[in-house]
Amino acid sequence: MRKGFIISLAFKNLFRYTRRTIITSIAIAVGIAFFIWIDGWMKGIEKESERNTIQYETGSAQIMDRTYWDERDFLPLRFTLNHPDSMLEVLKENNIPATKRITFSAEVYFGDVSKQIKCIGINPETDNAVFNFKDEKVLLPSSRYLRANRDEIMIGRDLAENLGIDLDAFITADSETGTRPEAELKFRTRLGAYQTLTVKVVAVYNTPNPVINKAIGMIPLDIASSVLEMNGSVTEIAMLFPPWEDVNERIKGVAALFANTKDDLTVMDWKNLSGNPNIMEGKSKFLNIFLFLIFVIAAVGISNTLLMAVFERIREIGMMRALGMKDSSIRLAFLFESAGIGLIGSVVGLAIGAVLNYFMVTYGLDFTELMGSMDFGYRIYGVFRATWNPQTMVTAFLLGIISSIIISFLPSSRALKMEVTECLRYQ
Amino acid sequence: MIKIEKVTKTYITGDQKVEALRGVDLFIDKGEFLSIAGPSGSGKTTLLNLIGCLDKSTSGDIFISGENVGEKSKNELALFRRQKLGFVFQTFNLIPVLTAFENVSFTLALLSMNGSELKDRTMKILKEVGLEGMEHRFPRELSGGQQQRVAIARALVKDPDLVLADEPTANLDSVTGEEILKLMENLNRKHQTTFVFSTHDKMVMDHAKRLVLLHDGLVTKDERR
Ligand SMILES: Nc1ncnc2c1ncn2[C@@H]1O[C@H](COP(=O)(O)OP(=O)(O)OP(=O)(O)O)[C@@H](O)[C@H]1O
Ligand SMILES: [Mg+2]
Repeated sequence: MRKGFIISLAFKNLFRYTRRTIITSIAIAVGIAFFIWIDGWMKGIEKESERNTIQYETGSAQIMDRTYWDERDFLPLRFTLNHPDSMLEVLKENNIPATKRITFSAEVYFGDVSKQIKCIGINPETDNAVFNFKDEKVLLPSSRYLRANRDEIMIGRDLAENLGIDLDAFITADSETGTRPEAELKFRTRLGAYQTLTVKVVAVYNTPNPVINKAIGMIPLDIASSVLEMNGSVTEIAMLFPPWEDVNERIKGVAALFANTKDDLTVMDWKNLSGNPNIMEGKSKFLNIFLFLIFVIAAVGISNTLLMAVFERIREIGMMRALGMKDSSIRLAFLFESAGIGLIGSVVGLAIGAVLNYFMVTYGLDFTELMGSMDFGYRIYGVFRATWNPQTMVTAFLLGIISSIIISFLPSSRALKMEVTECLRYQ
Repeated sequence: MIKIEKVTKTYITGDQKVEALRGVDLFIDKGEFLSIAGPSGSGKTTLLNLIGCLDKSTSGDIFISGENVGEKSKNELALFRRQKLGFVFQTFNLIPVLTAFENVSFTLALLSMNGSELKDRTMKILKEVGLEGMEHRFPRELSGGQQQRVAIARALVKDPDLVLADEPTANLDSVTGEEILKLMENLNRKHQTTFVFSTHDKMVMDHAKRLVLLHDGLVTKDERR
């Protein structure tokens, strides 16, 4: 029997119970639309978190001393990069934007209030090649970016608020002539001596990365170097890779550049540096559960619909078998019918999912009210935007159809298990 | 052409045994117009199902066109039915989503026929059963008698060796039933196709050229007229 005939028969049967077909395909469509929507959303969070981590926190990757990395929780200033400038030279020759930094822990005092922070010495001339603090959108009004060799500090907005700095006064005062709040930094030098440094708050930044806004301060590198007695050494060199390139490949390349130095170096990517590589795992687990759910919806919906169809048509099936239609052809007819429902559901689901995703990409959802500054590991605030993920769309689409096809075997087997005479007698 | 030898059929459901046929011998020639009659439960449907290769006998042999159908596998039987047998059912059993034309050509499609041959043969037989001009109607747009005409066309379009009809008029009023029977008679005469049909309707029996009476699974009378 020709396939075309079977397909056209299946197609006609599909519209025999229009309402049932519509309801079943809607169930599938809803599952698929939700899947696409949620996935786009999570991908968006992930992408944005990645961007915010790289631009404000870590760069794409950093070079550091291996022991420093191993003991990074203590920020040990003894294990440093001792020849950063020659290394920067090498990176420059290889067209890799890079900047050196000194990260140390300090206590910041403002009046009676004090906070433990991570303080970073940055090079005002080169830091912007990797990080994004010079951006006007990031700096609050009347902020001024750091200048070399001055006792000044840039801090995050949350930290400023927690310290009790009057931000209204800050943003209205003139950046050059107005009064700037003064804070005190207390820390230990490389050799362990206690030190105090009075710094002027010249800039307050409000990045899209909550971690950076809450517990980071930045002072000029040369000041940090001298007060910490670093002797020209730094704790890390941060680099920026083009986003479309594979970070791991680049890291291998960079490591190779410095393979011959006698220092024991390590190159770490932004995922390791920000310390939350397992967020992805949770995400994919969640999505797998979702995929399974779609499968169950399709399975229950379609098998139910087809079983009803089978029993309503049992005499018809008996007739077709009596006339000598092969069991495999009957099975195929049901397969096409089921695939048809799956196809309608998948197409509609894909369309709805794409529309939902479009709104999530363009407008996003604002959860700031709901979550405040709740910390859940991602480097973003409460506005969630989605990205486009064609791969997920294809997966969801195919899953809708394939599961429908697989499921069609169940009801058709029920019918074909009966004898032809039994089918014909069926009331 | 059809030889039935000592055929028995026993149904076993749970611990109940029903001997539906208890040793039937019958010889049917090519071109016969034969009615199997008998009261309800006498075994008419059972016998037709065996001749129609839809079921297997408990013992005894059935030969159709020289072939012992009891020895065939399920798939071989399906192929045999597809090529050689036509069926007409009491409840018409048309496919509701197909037109009259498509319901008839379905049989030819099963034989992988297509194109103009399929079309010509279908149109020709539809004309013969008196449904010219109605080929695009769906079953729900046809009367019971017209639906049974479609079913008869479906059975005959492939020019089968044998047409089996289990109570083909039972769902029709007597006037329409008689029309259907006359149609079958005409086709039998014209195509020399063998017809075997069951009934418990006196009028139907009167049209038969040979009447086989079944009682409790046994042939009690076999008369030609
Ligand atoms: N599948 C079956 N399982 C069990 N018993 C059956 C089955 N089919 C038929 N029988 C029994 O076999 C006997 C013959 O049944 P059959 O259907 O052949 O009679 P019939 O002459 O066609 O009757 P009717 O005129 O009512 O259609 C009956 O007693 C019936 O109950
Ligand atoms: Mg019967």
